[in-house]
Amino acid sequence: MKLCFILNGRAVSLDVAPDRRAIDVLREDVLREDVLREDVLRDNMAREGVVQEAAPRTDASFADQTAAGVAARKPSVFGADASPMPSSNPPATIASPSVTSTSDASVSTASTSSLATSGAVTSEATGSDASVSTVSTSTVATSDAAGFDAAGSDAAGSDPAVLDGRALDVKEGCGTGECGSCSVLVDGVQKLSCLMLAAQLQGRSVVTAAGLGTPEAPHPVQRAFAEHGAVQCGFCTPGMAIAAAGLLAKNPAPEREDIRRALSGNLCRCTGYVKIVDAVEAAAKDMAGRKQADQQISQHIDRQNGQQTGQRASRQIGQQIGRQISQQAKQPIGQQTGQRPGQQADQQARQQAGRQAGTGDAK
Amino acid sequence: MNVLTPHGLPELFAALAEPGARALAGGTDLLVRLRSGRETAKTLVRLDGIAALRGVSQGPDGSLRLGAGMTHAELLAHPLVRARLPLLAAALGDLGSPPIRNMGTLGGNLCTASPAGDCLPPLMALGAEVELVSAAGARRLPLADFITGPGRTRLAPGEALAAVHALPPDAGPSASAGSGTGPGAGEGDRFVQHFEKVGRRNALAVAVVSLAALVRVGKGGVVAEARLAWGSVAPVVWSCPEAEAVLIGRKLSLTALKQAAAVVRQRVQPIGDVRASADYRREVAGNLLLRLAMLSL
Repeated sequence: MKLCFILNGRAVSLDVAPDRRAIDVLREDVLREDVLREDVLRDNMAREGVVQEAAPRTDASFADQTAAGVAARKPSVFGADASPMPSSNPPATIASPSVTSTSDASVSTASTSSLATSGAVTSEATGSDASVSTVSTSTVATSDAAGFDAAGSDAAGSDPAVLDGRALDVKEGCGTGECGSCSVLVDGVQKLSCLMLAAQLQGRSVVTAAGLGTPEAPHPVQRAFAEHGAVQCGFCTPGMAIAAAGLLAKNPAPEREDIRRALSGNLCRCTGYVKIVDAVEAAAKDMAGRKQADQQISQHIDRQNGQQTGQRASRQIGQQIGRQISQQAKQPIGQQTGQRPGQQADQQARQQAGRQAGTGDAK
Repeated sequence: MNVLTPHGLPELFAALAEPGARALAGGTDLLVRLRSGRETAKTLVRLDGIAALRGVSQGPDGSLRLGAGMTHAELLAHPLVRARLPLLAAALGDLGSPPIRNMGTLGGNLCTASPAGDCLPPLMALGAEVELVSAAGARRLPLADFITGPGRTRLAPGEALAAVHALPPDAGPSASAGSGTGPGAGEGDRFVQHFEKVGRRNALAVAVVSLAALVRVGKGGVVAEARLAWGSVAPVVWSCPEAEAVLIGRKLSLTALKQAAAVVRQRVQPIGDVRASADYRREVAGNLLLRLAMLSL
């Protein structure tokens, strides 16, 4: 299936078997970027000016816009510290294939049924390699690369390709929904990516700890965790940060008991939780009272015009995906099964437009 | 493995008819079992796109229809659930953890049919019914008949749990005012409603013992009706008519509750496992009743 979602403000389009877990997909997307070499990134950077003008095109395919490099990646100080990927690893050794033959493994087969579905895709593939094919490698952004390096990717040097591993911030702990370590925000709601399938991410917005803030403009929660020593081994930290950020978005002034409750799905075996609750409390005060963090962040955004443009484009793309998906949803499966994975999104869009014109109200 | 996303009931029934199809609601139980290899599925049918399985609505008789596809967090946040079904709301608030409540659904909790399922005791005490739908139509069953054993239900092949119907204790002909009276209830009756779960820790814990108690107190503070439902002490939710009988016609005093608790300890036959011994469960099953003394004043 072609999986389209917003990951940390960035539009992502992947061909992926629907039964892959969300945690695999989120990592896979990142690994895809690991494969990118500096020259590729430099090309993208060079293209950026053009791209920024091109992005708002309404007739542009999703893939085009994705490649256009919309929002910047925002590596997390927390996601980064706890499981750095050895930067000495040559990208070629990373398991994720950068180019895969699209074997027809993930072609839909339920053509005899009348299901209308965006997720109705069959994969005969059992191995991850066969079920994944690259489409538009959504790379991007680059305005963050310098800041990222400055933030301490020791061995990274000036190689922007090393910005990779950092976004491997979605950590699998128990894999059974009992530890909260792999938490992500899906449309703003804390969920466990170890118990979600790729199909369930379709059309959603996903925020991982790496999407909360940047080293130079951290989310108040991230800043508070660092300042209050709320991190020991760090394994639970990305999930904790996600849970805390999710709480503060809904309840800006929580009592300590509210914080304990909101974080009760995230296990920590080092800190004893006290400093974590302290940190979240401090983050709430920071966000509510001092306004300083907000100003810094908005100043940061102002400095990075490119990024700002990217965010606008990202929103537009989000809306476009929404439309695309709702169109798909209205079509009976028999008509969708004609789609082949690996086809570019614009081709799909044209096909869909054609079908819709031909079939009228499909459902 | 296929993942199908039907968008309406006819599509759902077609999807469930696929060979090896299994319904996927929140996935918090099923995906754990599938990942462990203990169970398999050729096709997963997502239930989260089906409007008929969503929402909370109130019927003319004051009963609430709770969509089976509602997550625990959605139900917990719903004003009707909070106001009219506080017993269920209390259990929902203790269920799993915040992310589990954001993912897991009411229907999933019932169809998983765990002896420790947190929604089960309150819904049993409330006398809830399940609404089952299939290509052949809809049918309703008392929840007590629906769940037949650990992980076993009367859900037929191709059938889906669409909703749960529960009558709020104070519902009646004038239920809309919130002060109505149920069948057989007298003027001025009040209800003592209590849910308590004992686990190894507060969050992310499987219940060692849980109790949902719904007691109607009539004139003179005398118990007119008592419905008690325990979780985690038997293969299915356990009730104890003998203990209920001890309470009826008496004030909800500590003395009466202690006598009822003794009956409970005598009759309950829990098993011991990694979470607690049988003796501990037996003791706690009785002790949980004593809490009602604090609530009846």
